[in-house]
Amino acid sequence: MVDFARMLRSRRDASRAQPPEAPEELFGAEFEKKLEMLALVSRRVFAGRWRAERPSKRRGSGVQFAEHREYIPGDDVRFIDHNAYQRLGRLLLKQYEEEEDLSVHFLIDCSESMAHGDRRKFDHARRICAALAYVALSHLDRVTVAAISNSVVSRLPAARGKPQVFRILRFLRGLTPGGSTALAPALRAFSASSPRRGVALLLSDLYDPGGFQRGIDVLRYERFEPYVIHLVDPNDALAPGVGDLTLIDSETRQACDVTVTGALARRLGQAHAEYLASIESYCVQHRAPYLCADVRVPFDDLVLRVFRQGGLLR
Amino acid sequence: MSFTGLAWTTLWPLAAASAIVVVAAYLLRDRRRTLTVAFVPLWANVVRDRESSRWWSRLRHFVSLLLQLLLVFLLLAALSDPRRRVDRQSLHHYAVLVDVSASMQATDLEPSRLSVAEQQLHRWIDQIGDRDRVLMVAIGRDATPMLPFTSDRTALHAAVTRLAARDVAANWHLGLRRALELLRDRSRPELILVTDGAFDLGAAASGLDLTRIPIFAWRVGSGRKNVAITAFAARRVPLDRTSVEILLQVVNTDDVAHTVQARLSIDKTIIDTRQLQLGPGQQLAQYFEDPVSAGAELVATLHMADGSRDQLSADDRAFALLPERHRAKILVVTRGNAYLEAALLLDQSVDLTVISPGQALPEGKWDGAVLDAAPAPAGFHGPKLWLAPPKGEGPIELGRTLRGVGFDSWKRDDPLIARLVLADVQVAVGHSLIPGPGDEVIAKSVQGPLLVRGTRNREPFIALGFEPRDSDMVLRPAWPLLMLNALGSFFTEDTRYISSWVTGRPASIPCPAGVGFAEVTLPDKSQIRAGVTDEHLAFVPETAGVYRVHFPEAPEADTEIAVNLSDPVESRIQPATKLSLAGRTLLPPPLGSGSSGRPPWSALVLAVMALVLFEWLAFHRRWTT
Repeated sequence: MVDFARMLRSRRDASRAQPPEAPEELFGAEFEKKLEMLALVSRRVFAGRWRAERPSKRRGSGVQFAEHREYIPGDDVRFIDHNAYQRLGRLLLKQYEEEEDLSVHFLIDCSESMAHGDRRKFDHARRICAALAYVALSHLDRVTVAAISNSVVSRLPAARGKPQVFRILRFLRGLTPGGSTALAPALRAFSASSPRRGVALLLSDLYDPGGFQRGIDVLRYERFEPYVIHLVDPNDALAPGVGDLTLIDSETRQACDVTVTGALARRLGQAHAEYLASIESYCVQHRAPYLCADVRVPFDDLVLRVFRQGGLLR
Repeated sequence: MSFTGLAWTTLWPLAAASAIVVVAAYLLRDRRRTLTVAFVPLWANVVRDRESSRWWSRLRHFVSLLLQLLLVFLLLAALSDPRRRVDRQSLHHYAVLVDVSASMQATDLEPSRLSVAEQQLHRWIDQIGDRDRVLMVAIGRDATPMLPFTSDRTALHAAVTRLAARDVAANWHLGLRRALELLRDRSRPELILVTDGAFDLGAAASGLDLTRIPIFAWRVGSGRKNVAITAFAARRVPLDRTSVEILLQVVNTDDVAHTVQARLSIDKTIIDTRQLQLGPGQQLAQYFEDPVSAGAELVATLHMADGSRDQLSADDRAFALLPERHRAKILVVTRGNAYLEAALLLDQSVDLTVISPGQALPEGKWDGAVLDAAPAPAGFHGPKLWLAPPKGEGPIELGRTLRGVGFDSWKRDDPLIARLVLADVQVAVGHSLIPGPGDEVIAKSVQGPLLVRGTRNREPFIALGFEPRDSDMVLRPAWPLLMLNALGSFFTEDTRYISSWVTGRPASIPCPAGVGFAEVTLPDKSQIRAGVTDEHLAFVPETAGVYRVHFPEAPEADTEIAVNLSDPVESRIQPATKLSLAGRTLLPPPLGSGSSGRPPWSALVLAVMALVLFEWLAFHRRWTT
């Protein structure tokens, strides 16, 4: 870990000579310190349980016994069960479950709504994504990052190993929000281009006019294990003004005339809370782990909650 | 309903402009602000529940517009000051008559009676009802309205502040009569008198019907200590025109005796001081005689002997002016007569021009001629003194020759021979005079008239029937006196001269022909312009002092006049113990007796304006972002 920190510092020093691509403090020194802390915490919490030990349906050279089968000439004689031959007089071959590494897909929402206001949701999502990706890389998982809006905007090829975190950071730093949200087609396109299934972490505000449910369902139907990290900005629940207003949707430019009063503002807050509750309820019902990522909560606290909540990287 | 405020011709343009402003504000308000939100469907869910009220919301905005228009029109209606007719009938009409006569300057109340009255009026004005109308009239020589009926307190206070006492008597009869005329047909009329009551109210109200109007009175004043100059005049002594005689009349209006010093000064030089003892109510006349240079300004002042001051100073000082004595141009036609010239030269105000008989008349305007046994020069017109007029040349026919005669009879009271002793005059030779019709024989001997006065062709003449050197008259004092009296009888300008005028009475001053106006500088150095009628400047002085009259069209005729209070009634400053009229005792007006009830329009107007502003700002939150 000390080596990684040194690597980060050297890379950062090297990048100072170049013009910045993203906000200075997006992955600054403080962020790097927190990444190191999270890596240490993740080792202590998940020791002996992670380590690319995910069993697969394929039989191979693992250590976990799976079943016997009849010996066929040409098989490796090292796997013949001599005890079974003594008891049964038959040549049975011992088969083991093949252990393969976990694929972790980070699907980060890059639609315009994520940048609404002061881009807090977008930056927050990128920090969470970077942190979790680093943890996953440190556990030898394969990490894929894709930026989606109404399609796959950009995609980072699968990365493995901790040094790949720099690619991920560079990728995240290069993202710019824009476009409308359409989770279902975007995730469907992502699924079609991803042969390996695995955990799919969806980092989005879920402001999908077509319905957030369809996006989650696409992941489910495509045999991903969806994990919903819902970026929530409390300012979205506040009325932007009072009086006669024409509200324009940040993505679709759809207009809505309202006369905002105190009562209407309160009703908006209630509707926002109900919307969040409906998302959580849907995720729970469909066994998709859900985490509400309030932009006011530091990203490292959120990552720790992810660890405690479990279900991710198991 | 009646409208007493702005006229409709003014209100209609205001209404149109206001409606335009309100509608513009409404349209401005109706333009929605555009704001971007993250996720409109979230709002749509909220608003969907309110869809049913959208029409009501729009209607509500329209109602808001209508409401604001209504408020504006209400404001304009308030400006028109609508009142029920019963309201107009219920408001008071006060006519306040304020005494600004000389007695109101009395200082028995500090700083003066008028100032105390002003303070009372200020307090009263603050207490009257808002709708009450007040007419304020200053009663001096005339009844001068200070301002017409008004409810404007500011104007009323200003009018009270402008009140100033003058050195005149108050013409209460005129004031009461005008007040009655102005209060006629007014609702709830009331008459308020502000005075010291130092006048006969009953006499002032004679002939006036004051029984139908409530009358109140503020009586100001308490003292009576005053010693006044009630007359001050000067004139030249008729028989000695180099001197003047001065009359000073003083009265003590107090009920205790006072000792005063009367000082007489001429051209700021005190020439006489007399101490006068004046009993209660006593009037005293004093005469002064003194040689006075021409054009003198005489001032008489009174001072209390004990060093105190009386309570009215306006009558403690009086002025008089004497005109510059006219310098007469006299033509003397003689063959040489030292007695004659010596006698004429005794009068220093005479310019003599001596010519010989037959000599041409010199250029110039002549005030008279002395013809010593000589005919009048051709072309001469004016008074003439003939000494031994030549036969057939003079204005009078000569009778028979007289020898060794004297004056046997004469008119003793005639100014021509005043102070003359004619009994001892002996005449060696002369002629009797034959007076014509209208001629007057002043002195004569038993043998015929010797001194005759008459008029020919509107030109006066005096004829002496003998050559003075043919008598011993030239050796007697009677000779120069006769000459001086004869010349003095030619010049009558002093007789019409008035040395001082009285305030409040018209001053009529002769002025040259062709002059249309004069600029009069008052004692306080202010100027007025006075017109000239029939060669007389006429104006009414209201302040004691010396007035300077300037004729821009004839500067050589500029003159001065002196004006004095000289009114025993005004000098009697003792206020009335109570004022009563037609058997009614006049009481002070009760404070706060005006029509109460402030019209709610002003408060409503402010409330409506505040409401509109609050609605526009608070409901629509223009300041919010």
